[in-house]
Amino acid sequence: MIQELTRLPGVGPKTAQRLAFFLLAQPIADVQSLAEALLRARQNTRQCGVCCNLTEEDPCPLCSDSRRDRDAICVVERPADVQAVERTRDFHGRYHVLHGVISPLEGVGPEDIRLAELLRRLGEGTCREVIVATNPSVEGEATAMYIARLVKPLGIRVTRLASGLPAGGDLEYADQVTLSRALQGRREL
Amino acid sequence: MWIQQVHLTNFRNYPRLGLELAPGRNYLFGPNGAGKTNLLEAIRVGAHGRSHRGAQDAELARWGTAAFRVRLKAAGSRRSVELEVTWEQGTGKRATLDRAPLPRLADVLGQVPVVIFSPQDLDLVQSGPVFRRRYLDLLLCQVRPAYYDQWLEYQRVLAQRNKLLRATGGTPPPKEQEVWDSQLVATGGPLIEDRRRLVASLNEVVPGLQAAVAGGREDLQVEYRPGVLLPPAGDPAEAFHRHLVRARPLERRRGTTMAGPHRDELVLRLDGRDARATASQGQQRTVALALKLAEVELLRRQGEEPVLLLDDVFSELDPGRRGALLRLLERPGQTLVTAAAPDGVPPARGDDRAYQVGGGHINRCQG
Ligand SMILES: Nc1ncnc2c1ncn2[C@@H]1O[C@H](COP(=O)(O)OP(=O)(O)OP(=O)(O)O)[C@@H](O)[C@H]1O
Ligand SMILES: [Mg+2]
Ligand SMILES: [Zn+2]
Repeated sequence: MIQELTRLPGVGPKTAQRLAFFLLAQPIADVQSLAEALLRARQNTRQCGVCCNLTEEDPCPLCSDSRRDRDAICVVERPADVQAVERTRDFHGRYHVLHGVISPLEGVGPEDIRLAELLRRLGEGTCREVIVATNPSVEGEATAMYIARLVKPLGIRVTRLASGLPAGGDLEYADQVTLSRALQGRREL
Repeated sequence: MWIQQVHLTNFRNYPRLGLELAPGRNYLFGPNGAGKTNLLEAIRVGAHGRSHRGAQDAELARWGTAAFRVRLKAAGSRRSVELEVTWEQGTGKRATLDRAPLPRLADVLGQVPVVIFSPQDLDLVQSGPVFRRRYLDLLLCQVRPAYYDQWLEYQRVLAQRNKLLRATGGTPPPKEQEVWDSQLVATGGPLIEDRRRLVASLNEVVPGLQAAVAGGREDLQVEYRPGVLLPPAGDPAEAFHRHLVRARPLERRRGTTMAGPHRDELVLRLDGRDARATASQGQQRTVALALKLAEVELLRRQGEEPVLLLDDVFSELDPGRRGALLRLLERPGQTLVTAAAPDGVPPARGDDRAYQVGGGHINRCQG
């Protein structure tokens, strides 16, 4: 069990051991309901066929919300980043979740993230601006530039969040004010 | 700035040490293996976060222990600081400034300006370009803290690009190639600019310092040769791009990035000739010393007088150069000088302090 737990992000051997001993001390019923909740959540969750965000319904609530603008797509690395941008309430367009960034060191190429899905969406012709909100890391910047090279030839504007974000910081952990400012001050790629 | 106190716990051969220093010259005497270099190394670890000898952290902990601590109390013209660098097996190194944790170890750089000159610094002149790039980088990190972030970014881009080259047999898909080329130029260009500017400042002071140490007989110039072919005019970013395009066949064969500041060279010209190839051992030592003293000079221009650590500098210099070095010691700042024995070292002046080093202790000499 400890070995399984250490596979979770942010869980080292020490934390895994603590979690394991905690779980072992719980009533069987509690552990069972936790296990079932995990299993149910996983079984009912899939990627949205449109934006690739994690969802229980396909298309996801954001994609099927007709009040949201169709002319702007905000591209993020991870599902948690959608939540972060949503919290600002400054963006009313749609999202696209890449599930990663280009990183040769990790063996991740453009075909390993959801870029083909993005291009297919853009082919529908309703989107006029792609806002790339990948993290301000080396890999996030490279991915943003790659997207610009793919998308600009289609005649669609590509912008990048203003660099108010701390370098190397994660979108997920940026506070709302910083993120709002970054959204407003986005620059052309 | 001057270091008032050094406190060590389990650093090299010092189980515990509390040392009070004087603001001027401090002489540390002791036989071979006494722990003189270890003390200077500790100060360097406290001020820069890492050893000047390239030692691993675990080697710095006293044998049989798995943690060390270095604490420096220093006073400057504008403020006093207390820096602490600790290492523990498993958790690694951490630094605090005035007892508050610093986000990163590298943030200690520039807090207490320290320049160390030791026999190893002959590498600056004798060995490969990596030593001279490191010299520039360390100085730039202290002069401009943002330089460190730029440098880190460049290293990351370089690693990504090299991996891409290797993974694709030197021929990445064009779009990916373009992206990493652009990132390399965007992060590497500023490094070249910063280094070029630094070398220009070095050349304002290096010739004078070399002349002073060598008795006015030698001329030293520092020549910056970027690892990118840059024509005298035109946009440097464009030139960098062009160089990358031209280097493609070569990169295909070697599977590694062939243009960029990671290939910078610094040529040290002594009377017009490359000191690496032609200068004598003693001359090379003088050149290395002149570079170190230039570092002192440039750090001083930042506003605080740096602390100068001179490890074993009096060996291997002819009497003329030794005398010149002594005159340089008249500098206003704090200097720590190590030597096996007092002979050959200048007679003490009133406010000099001498210490005897040995057995894990450092005691002030009487008189
Ligand atoms: N991690 C360690 N733990 C305990 N002792 C160590 C450790 N590392 C080195 N030493 C001791 O420190 C000694 C070297 O000390 P140091 O290099 O400071 O000598 P020194 O006084 O500079 O001598 P020299 O005059 O030869 O340069 C070694 O001989 C070794 O015994
Ligand atoms: Mg020594
Ligand atoms: Zn969706």
